[in-house]
Order: sequence, then C-alpha cells, then structure tokens
Amino acid sequence: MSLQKSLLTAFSSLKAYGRLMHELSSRTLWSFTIALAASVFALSLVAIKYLPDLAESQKRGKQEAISSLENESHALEGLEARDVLTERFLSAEINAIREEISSLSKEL
Amino acid sequence: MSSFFELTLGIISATGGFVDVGELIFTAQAGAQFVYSLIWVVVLGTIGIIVYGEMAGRVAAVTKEAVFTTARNKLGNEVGLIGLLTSFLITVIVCAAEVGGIGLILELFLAWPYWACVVIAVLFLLTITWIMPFSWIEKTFGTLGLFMLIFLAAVFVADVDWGAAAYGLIPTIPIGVPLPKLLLYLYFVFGIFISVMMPYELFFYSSGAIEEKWGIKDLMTNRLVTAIGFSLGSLLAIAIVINAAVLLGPQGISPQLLGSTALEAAIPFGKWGLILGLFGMLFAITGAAIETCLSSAYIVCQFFGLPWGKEKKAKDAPIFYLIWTGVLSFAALLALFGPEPMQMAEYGVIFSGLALPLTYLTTFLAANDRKLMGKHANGRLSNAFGILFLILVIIAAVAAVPLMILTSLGQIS
Repeated sequence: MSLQKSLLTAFSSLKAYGRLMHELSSRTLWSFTIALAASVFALSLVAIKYLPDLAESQKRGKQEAISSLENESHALEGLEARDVLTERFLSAEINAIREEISSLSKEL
Repeated sequence: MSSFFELTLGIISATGGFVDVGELIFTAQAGAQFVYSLIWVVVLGTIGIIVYGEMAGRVAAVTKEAVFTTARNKLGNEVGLIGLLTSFLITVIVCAAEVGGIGLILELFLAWPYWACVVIAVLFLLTITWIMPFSWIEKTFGTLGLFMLIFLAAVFVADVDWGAAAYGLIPTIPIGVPLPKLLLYLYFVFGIFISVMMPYELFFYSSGAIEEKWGIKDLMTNRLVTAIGFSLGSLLAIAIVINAAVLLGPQGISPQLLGSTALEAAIPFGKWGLILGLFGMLFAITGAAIETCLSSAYIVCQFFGLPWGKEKKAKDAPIFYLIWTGVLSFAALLALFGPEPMQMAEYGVIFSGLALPLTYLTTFLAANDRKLMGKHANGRLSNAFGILFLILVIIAAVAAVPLMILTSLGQIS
C-alpha cells in the first residue's frame, strides 16, 4: 500500500513538475549541458581508473571475443544444412568468423 | 478510404522500419547471453519512443517545425549548436554502421568482397534516395522490412518457455552475480534502451511529418502510427531476443556478426527462413541508412534555417542535398576504412546516448509550451511520462559510455 502511495506521489510530482517545464533559461541549459558532459567525463575516468590497465582489459576483451567467435564457429559447423543455400550461407559465415578471429589475433 | 489506407501504410512502415543494425546486435546478443531477462528493456524503450515520437509528430503537425528548428528556439544558439554537433556526428557514425551492415549482408548473398558490396550499397543508396519521393522511401523500405516477420514466426516454432519469457517483462537487476557480469548486464540494459530510442528516429519522424505536410487533422494518425506501429515493431525486437535465447544461446552462439542473427530464421525454417530473414534485415537496415543520412541533413538545415526537404529540387535546397550525399559518401569510407561495422554500430548506439538528453528535452519543451501548441500542448499524462523518460535518458547518457569502457564494448563477462 505504501509503495502504491509512493508511486502515486512520485507520479503526481512528475505531472506537477512537467506543467512548469516549457521554457528554461540559458543559464539552466548551460548548467544542464555542462553537468551532463562533466558527469560522463568523470564516470569514464572512474571507469578507466577501475580498470588500472586499460590495454590489458582491452586485450582480455579481445581474447574473450575470440573465444566467443570460436564457440560460434564450432556451433555453426555443427549445424545441419538442409539445402545448398543454407550450406553456402553457413560456410560464408564461418569464413567471416575465421577472418574476424584472425584479425583480432593479429591485434593481440 | 484513402486516409485509412494512408494510416495503415504508416503503421506498416513504422513497424517494418523499427529495427536497425544497432538493435539487431544488442537484442540478439542480449538474448544469447541473458536469455529472456532483458525483454523489459525493449518494452520500456518502446514506451519512451512512443511518448516522444508522438510529441515530436504533434509539434511538427501543429507548429510546422521539426526538432532542430525548435532546438534553436528552445535551447538558444550556443547550447543548440552543441546539441547539433553531437547529434550530427553520432548520426554520421550510425549511418556508417548501417552502410557497413548492408555491405555485410550483401557479402553473404553475393559472396563478393566486402569492399565491393559497400560500394554497391552506397551507389544504390545515393541513387534511390535521390530519385525516390520521400513518402515512397519511407513506405517502401518500412513495408519491405516486414520480411522480418519471419523472426516473429520463428518464436512460435521454437521451444519457448512462455512463463519465463513473460517473467522477462518484469524489470530486474541480477543480485548476487559477480560484478563483471552485473556490469555487462547493465551495459546491455542501456545499449538496448538507447538503440530503441535513437535520436535520429525523432529527427526523421518529425521532419517526415513536415515533408508529408501534416496538420492538425493528422494528430490522430500521429497517435496511432506511433502507438501501434512502434509497438508492433518492438514485437520484432522482442522476437529477436527470444529466438537468440532459445536457438542461439544454448548452442554457444553469441552473435558477433550480423549474419548469425539470420540463423534465428534459418534454424527453424531452413532455406526460405534464411532468405526472408536476410531480406528483412537488408531492407530494414537500408531504410535506416537512408533515414540517418537524411536526418543529418535535416538537422543542420533546420538549425540554420536553410531550405530543406526531399520534396524540394536540388537547386532549391543545395546545402540539404550536399549534406546527405556527403554524409552517405563519408559513411561508405568509414565503413571501408574505419572500425568493423558491428563495432561501429555499438559505438554508434552507445554514443547516441549522449545526444538523447538535449534532443528529448527540446521535444518536451516544445510539446509542453502552451503559447506554441495551444490546446494541443502536453496533457498531464504526457508530461508525467515525458519527465520520467527525460530522467531515464539522462541516466542512460551518463552511464552508457563508462559501462562501455568497463565491459570493453560488452566483451568482458
């Protein structure tokens, strides 16, 4: 019941605030834009700090991508092609995956 | 009868044109990795795009002004210019991802080198966008995108646990999972949310309303097209999540390439499923490529008050034509020499989040201005949902890029 009441209150506040909002001053808009950009920048810095070695993290990401692509390739090889077109598609897709794996491996 | 036909066509093209390359990637990977648990995000994003699409269409119909004409009035020149630059750059990246996506699908069809397929794609796009009238472009590719209904049909053939799928409609955040897995989940939450609410969709929809000379009499059409068309379109996106969960995930396939998504139709239906699935994806992505290149020209011309419109001849709107042809050509170069198309699509979606707040704020301010809109200004319900989604897009804008860094573009788990 209290959750329902809180939701209703929140909804009413949104309605009330919405009614007021049709013109924003230049100062408010600048503050909003700068705050938004600063938040994205600050959080990105925190994210980079959380990953002390970004290069290592990217390397790990690429290794995981290769592993996932290898899984995908094995799975595709295991699929039964019921016709020529599907067979050709599967083979093209497997080739594309191999190229992707090879390109990622070169980057490592 | 004629207006009923127009309405039906509008709904059909909104349905078929709902999915683009970014959504295909995020929804398919989300289904393969998190089964049904992210369906709620597609629904949430769809409600958001319905609310704001309706507002943008209503503002265009009442004031004859598209999003970036109002941006200059509502945000002022400086903040408006920041919004314009962000939106333009991101729309160009998304356009490049769409062109690359077409190249990849043509490569599968024709077995020709990727570069040749991209060149064919861009020549086709330049020709078709130049010669086709606006309404034909929108309706042709939107309608042909309905080939993607094969993905919806696949859901009914696949062995879906409907109870679990219905449970996926309830917003959840996994508790007790390792931190990297939680971050990956959140990355997909914001990725799907942004991909459904891409800013170019608002630019194109509101500019399209003006191209098609909408007026007050079209307000009901606007409401129905956004509510029904976008809802039906989101069913396709949900179908891709479900199919990936049932058909791809259990086989260890987490679709890293666009072609893998077509397997969702090939596994249950064989050759014809594959053909229809690939055609549907091809047309939907082609439509999105045209929408993005036109949108980039729309927003620049609208902001600077230059003549614009597909219905105008090139000599009457030279800058407009120069921008969209330039953007398409540059997008082809990016698709050829830039990052991998799938990677570019992910960058496009995540960085689009940065353009969402100013785009949506502009639309909200205009739709809520009684001086401008008179009795057609937002009601209480539109305001409540408008503010709610404004808060959500701000959260998405702030969180998406850091999550992309933390998960190394969704690769770490």
